[in-house]
Amino acid sequence: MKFENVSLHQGDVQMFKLAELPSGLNKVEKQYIAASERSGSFHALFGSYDIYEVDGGGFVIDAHEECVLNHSLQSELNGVATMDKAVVIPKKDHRHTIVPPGKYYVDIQTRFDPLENTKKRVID
Amino acid sequence: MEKIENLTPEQEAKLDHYKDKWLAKIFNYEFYKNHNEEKAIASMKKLYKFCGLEEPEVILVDSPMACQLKVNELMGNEKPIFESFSSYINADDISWLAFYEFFFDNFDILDEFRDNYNLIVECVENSYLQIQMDKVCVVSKYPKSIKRNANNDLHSVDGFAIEFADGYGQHYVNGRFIEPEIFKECENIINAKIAFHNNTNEDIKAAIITIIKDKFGNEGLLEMLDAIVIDEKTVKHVGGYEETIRLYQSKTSYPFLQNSKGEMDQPYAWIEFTCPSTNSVYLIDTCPTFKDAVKCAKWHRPSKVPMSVDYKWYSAN
Repeated sequence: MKFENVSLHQGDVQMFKLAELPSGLNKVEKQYIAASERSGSFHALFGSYDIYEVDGGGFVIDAHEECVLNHSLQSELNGVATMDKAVVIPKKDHRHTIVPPGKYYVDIQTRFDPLENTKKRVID
Repeated sequence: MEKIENLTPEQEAKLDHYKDKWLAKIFNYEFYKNHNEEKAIASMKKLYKFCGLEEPEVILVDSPMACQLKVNELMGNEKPIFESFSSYINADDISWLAFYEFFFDNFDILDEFRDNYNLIVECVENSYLQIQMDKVCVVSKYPKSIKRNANNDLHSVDGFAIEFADGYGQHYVNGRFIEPEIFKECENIINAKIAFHNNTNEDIKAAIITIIKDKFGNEGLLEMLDAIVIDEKTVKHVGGYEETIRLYQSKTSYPFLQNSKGEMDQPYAWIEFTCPSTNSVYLIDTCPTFKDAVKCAKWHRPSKVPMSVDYKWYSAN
């Protein structure tokens, strides 16, 4: 991936702008970027974009327009039929993030496990 | 019916009055202090009648937990189960009640609905939450105490963030619900230390840190971690947002801990971030080889991001 120096974050979800769409990606249905089993909250991108899975985890986003990254609760999705419109929905903890058009690599912040000497995605 | 397309500046100037008035009913405890049992029972009976339902027995209790216990008792449940609270006719309604009161007071286009509106107001004045069943309605009174942080999120490190007259309450730290067991562990530094090390959930760990920092200060936090500060850096991000990142290490090394090179007998190490939305402080486990907080922060980004990408947020929430 070719990274540009533009980064955004909403809690532990971090987005990094890419110069171009990497090749060989597998396009998938729109889905939550991250979800918390404990609190029932999620981070999800709303608007016109394509989303691709990345080997080893994370996604590549191709945002065709200004999109909105929301951190909210499932119960707030009443009346929001799809993630196709760039709408702001009531927040859980983190304010919404405006994501300018472009290509991004998005994944979760990591922590170091000193017992196993491995890096893992943080859990909330 | 006439459609209102715009408000005049004079009308807009009145909006805050309605917002503040309705928020005060909960946060200045007007509903709690003015609770009227007779009105509560009468209004709920009127509501059932309005909906074409048989008149219920209205049972008033002090808290949402008491609602649950009462309903489980009435249903004869041996093992308590959660019964859903009503979606409407409770404290959640105050936003739209404030909205419509503004229009009732300043326009005449809704006058035909005023009686219905007043019925809902009568109900909500005396019902924080309720469980509506056939023939029985169990109603909880409003909380007697609500504590919040500067963001207006529920928050208290000293006790319940929300508490009801019967003693039931819930703990929140910067808007996040905290289980009572975790909160109790934070009453002293030794128990908090054990809870911190035993938890893998970063939100729970952040709550422990926030409570310890608020109650015992930074010295208390370092004591809990048995740690020293290795580095502290303030990073200026785009748009004026400044972030202070700290690196900590425990004073003691442990034979079972490794660094990222696989070398054993290492100290615990943490990097401290503060959430710009909630102000919660997170201590993320890190590798003890780092001596520079910014380099360490870069290393904790998702694995595919190279270290050459600046640690600078264009948007941080």
